[in-house]
Amino acid sequence: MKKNKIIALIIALVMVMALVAACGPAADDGDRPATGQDTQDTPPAAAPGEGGGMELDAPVEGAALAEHIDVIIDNNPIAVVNPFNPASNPTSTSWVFVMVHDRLIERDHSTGEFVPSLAHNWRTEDYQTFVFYLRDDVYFHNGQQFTADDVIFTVEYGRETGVGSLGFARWSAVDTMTAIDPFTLEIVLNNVNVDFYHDIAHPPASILSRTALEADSATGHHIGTGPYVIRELIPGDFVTMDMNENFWNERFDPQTQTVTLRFIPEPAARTTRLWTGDTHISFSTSADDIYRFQALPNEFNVIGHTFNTMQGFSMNLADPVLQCWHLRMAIMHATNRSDVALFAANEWAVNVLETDRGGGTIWGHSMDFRNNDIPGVDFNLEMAAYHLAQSDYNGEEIEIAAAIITNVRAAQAMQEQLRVAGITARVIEFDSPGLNAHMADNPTQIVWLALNNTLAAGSIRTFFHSESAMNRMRMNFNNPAVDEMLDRAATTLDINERRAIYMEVQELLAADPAFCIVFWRINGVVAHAGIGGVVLPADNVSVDLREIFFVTD
Amino acid sequence: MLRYIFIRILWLIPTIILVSLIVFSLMELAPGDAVAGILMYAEDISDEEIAELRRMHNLDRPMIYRYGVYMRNLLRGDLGVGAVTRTPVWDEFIRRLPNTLILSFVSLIIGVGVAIPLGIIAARRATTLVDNSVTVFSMIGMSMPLFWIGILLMLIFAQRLQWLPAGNFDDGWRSLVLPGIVGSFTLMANAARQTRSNMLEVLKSDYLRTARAKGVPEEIVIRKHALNNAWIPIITAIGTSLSNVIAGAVVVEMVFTWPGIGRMAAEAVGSRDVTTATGVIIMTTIMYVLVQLIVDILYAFVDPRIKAQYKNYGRRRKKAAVPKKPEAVLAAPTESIKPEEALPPVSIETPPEPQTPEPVMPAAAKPERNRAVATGSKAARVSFATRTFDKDGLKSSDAEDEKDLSADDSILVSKKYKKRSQMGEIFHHMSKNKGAMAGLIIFGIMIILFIVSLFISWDSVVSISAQNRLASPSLALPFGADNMGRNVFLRVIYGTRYTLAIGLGAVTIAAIFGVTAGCIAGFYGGKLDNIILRISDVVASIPGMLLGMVIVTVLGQSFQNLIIAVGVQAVPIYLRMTRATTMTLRNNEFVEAAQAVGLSNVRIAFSQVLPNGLAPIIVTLTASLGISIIVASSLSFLGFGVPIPQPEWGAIIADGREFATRAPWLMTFPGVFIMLTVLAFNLLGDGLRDALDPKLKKR
Repeated sequence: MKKNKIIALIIALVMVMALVAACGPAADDGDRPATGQDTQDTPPAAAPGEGGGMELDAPVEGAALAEHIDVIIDNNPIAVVNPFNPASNPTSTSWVFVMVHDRLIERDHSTGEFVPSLAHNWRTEDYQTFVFYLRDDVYFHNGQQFTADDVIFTVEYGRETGVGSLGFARWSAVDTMTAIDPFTLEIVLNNVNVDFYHDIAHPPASILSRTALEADSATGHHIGTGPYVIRELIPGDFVTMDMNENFWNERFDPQTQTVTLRFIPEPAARTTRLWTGDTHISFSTSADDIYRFQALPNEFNVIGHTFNTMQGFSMNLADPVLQCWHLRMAIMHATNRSDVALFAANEWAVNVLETDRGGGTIWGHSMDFRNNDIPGVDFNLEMAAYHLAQSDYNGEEIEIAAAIITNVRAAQAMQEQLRVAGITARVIEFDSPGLNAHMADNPTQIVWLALNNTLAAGSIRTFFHSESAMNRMRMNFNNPAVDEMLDRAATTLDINERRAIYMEVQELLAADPAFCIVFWRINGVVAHAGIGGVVLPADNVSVDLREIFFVTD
Repeated sequence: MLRYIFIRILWLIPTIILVSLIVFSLMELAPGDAVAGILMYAEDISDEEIAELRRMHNLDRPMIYRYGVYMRNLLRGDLGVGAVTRTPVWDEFIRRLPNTLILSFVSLIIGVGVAIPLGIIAARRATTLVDNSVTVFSMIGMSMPLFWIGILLMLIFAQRLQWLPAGNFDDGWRSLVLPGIVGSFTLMANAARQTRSNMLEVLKSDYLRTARAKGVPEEIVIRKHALNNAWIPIITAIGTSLSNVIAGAVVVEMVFTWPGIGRMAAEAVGSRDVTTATGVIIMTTIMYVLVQLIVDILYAFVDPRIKAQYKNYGRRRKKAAVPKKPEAVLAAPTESIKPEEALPPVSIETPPEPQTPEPVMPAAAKPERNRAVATGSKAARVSFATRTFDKDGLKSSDAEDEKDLSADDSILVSKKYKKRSQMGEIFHHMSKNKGAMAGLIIFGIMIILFIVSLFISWDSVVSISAQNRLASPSLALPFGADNMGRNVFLRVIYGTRYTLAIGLGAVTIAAIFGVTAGCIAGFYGGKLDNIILRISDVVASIPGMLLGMVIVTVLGQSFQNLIIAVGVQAVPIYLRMTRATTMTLRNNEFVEAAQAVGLSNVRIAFSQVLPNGLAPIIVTLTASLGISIIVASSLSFLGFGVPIPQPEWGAIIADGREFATRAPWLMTFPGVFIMLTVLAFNLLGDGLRDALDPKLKKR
């Protein structure tokens, strides 16, 4: 049996060596760096406020293109492709909407302007009554012609079945719809809404086919007018789409015959697929592995896509402890945002205070009417101590709740920083439904989360208007002046006046902080050289893969 | 035989009802619901809309209403509609089931195809290097967490060597290789060990000697005579492991992104989709039970004695007389024990079936005792005392025979006999087993580490440092630093507490409840026995990993709740073990004597019967320590374990897998520690089993 021990030790040693070998340089790595050697500590971030794209907008004439492209999406699996099913709310599902469906209008992310789509023209005088003139040469994937009736059906279908979905939210302002003729549609809203164009240009506002849904309520929502047709959807795994040979929109020129969007939960598996070429582009490569791809600029393109999502923590103003303004200021001064961003997002994050866009406003970096002149609350332990001394804090333990790994790490880092500043905190980890339930039943004092906004300034209502359920679950921010201004801004037609309102709203929000933006997340997009035709807007929901291609030679 | 099959299938009905009730209730008790999951991504939603959403999902009604609706649909064969996808659960289940079955089948082929030849070769070349290698491979294979080995293989063969794809399902047969190998690991290790063990027993048989003497070629001797008689435990090991693969392939499917039912269930639990989770678990339970049934039917084909017993299955049995001495080394069921109870099914994913030691002689049969005799100038005296037993069992007589040997006469046999206690006897046998001693040494090291951990401050374990982030191993940081700059060495050492506590806590919970229930069931028998056994079957039928996930979801992530989740899974094992032993002992005369004295049944059961049947329980306890540790680390890996920053080894691996390339030490060291700890307990368990097995005792 002595032999057994020796053999066991040898086997264990071999396994450890194999693991180290697996993580060391491959035999044919050539220029690839050895394990542990960072070739680049900071990511090639796109400047905040800008989207990005692949180097190639269109393939060179005559270039050989791949017929199939495999894409790894971000960390949100595609469970169902139905804008009126709340399960479609995660961002990556909207990418499928963009490829399979169309909206009445779209937003050109390079100019910010609204451009024609299913509607070739439109008009309004009061931002309450709209008339859309629809194209008469558009057909759904099932061969049925698109008409105004399909738009009406879509909205009615959403009202009946889509409570809680983003599609429902997009059309919630609509009061009545009338088909003046098959290709002219009048929409009357409940109230004046200057953000209506934003709403209907958003991917969840996709138009569905009446005939398709009436024929098959289970999968009829897969039928759209877009450049790609869903061939197969495995919920939670992948969706494969084929090119629509009868695509109508001359603005787009799809290049690839088949595109598969895939969700892979295991980081090692994602990197492996990208490394071996099984996947051509990944939107969720492990930050740990991105440097390996960066080291091979001839083989891979790495782009830092900074999108509009605000990552930070909310402070519950209904809590007796956190009602104290000095304590909240102390907490914000005690938070070293650079370190938190480092721990939470593995270097792939932008400390809002380190940009030139003013870190003091609670506004997405690309949102309309952003006030860049509000100074941020910087990391300053002396100021933290000062505010703490002025506060009512008596050493109570403050709860910090978080779900998902990024927020949990951020919460831990923050906990340690608060401890240094003399504030005791405890991190409670939940899964997503548990966190929501916890917030609904017993609002936690501090919650680490990401605020996803559209680019429309009015979307801030979701988090700061006192009537918003989301506000009550997280911050309980209740300022009648802010409520009045947000209501007024939504109905103010004059752009300058609207701008002034939102500027003032931002100042009020900063003066009585209920949310602290810590960083903007940078999404490391890694693609094989030769991938092009990808548009990465600041609004992460609208990632556009309609013209994606892969040059093979 | 048909009757047996029919009755077993009939029992599925109450099993399904109970499983649905348990899972449905637990899921409903979990914080949050399907609407809460939806709201994570919702935008400007009003209170009225939230109320409408809840009404659509019947969340405005009491739980009993929702359960009634669910059962009504279930009786119609309708598993309901997923709360998230709003597609029929059955459709989604059927779509994913073939993927899991393919993976299970491939795992079975690989596992059996490797294990049985290896086991045969090892048995034929016992005590050689080949045999030792197979043994070590089996032990180590049973000690490694599947998620760890899965990521390791992926990094080596998929990423580094690029020989194979990293899972998914779109590369034909090549996609099956890595997940198939990982899924087969525990089965392979367990079956190889079982094959070797049984073949060793069979190869010593007289009938094989006769066959060889008659000139039968060795190949035919092995294949036709030996293997046929060694099949039953092998089938048991294979069947149990296979049902575990089918029922609980969550870890393999998550690591390799395999679109199977394990992932479907895990995602349903995570999103509080009660309908989907309940439906998948019910279907998985049915498959689990059917696989067990197939295993039992295979018994009948292999062993005609068992087939004969099946014929009497379900008929009223006469009260058992004085129990016969257990005679079979194999786990063949006795008349009083149903075949499927001979080896309790394990509803835990990764680990091997804890070996069911055959019931030993009642403890009243004390071993021979020998007294040392003082030597001196006087003649050496060799004296020994024996206790003999007559048919009454309790009587013992001391008969001392003394022999005087003259000092002048050479003492032909002069031995110094030490008087050993029962524990001493056990330790004496274990000390001869080098594997057990190796396990003891490793366990001793773990205890030392545990003591060392008491001197490590919590702050040093959780304090973060941007400067040290992902630092590689050095003198200051022997195991490197993790993503938060925390000292991995200190965290791993500190994590020894969690590991030992989880292992001991879980088996304690399982033992307390399982032994108590098993003792009651075995002693009283009748309807009480049936009820307890059926409840145990239900719990055992629910896939262990899924049950653990549901329990943690309900109770919340914490160290204590993880212990509960792991412990609950193991209760049926102890229950069946204790029940079998109690049933064997309850008709002994000392029980009658205790009754005659006037002791209550409860007291007799727990103070007389149970202490005499502790041996197999102790063996099971030791063996299941390793299983519990693996289950706990697997749950942590999936995100259902100890919350960060508590340094449980599985959680450290889970946290570090994102950095497997740049900082492999984050996965290596805790993985090695898990492996060594589980290996230690497995070796100890084996040694203890051998020490307590009267057939293996040699003087």
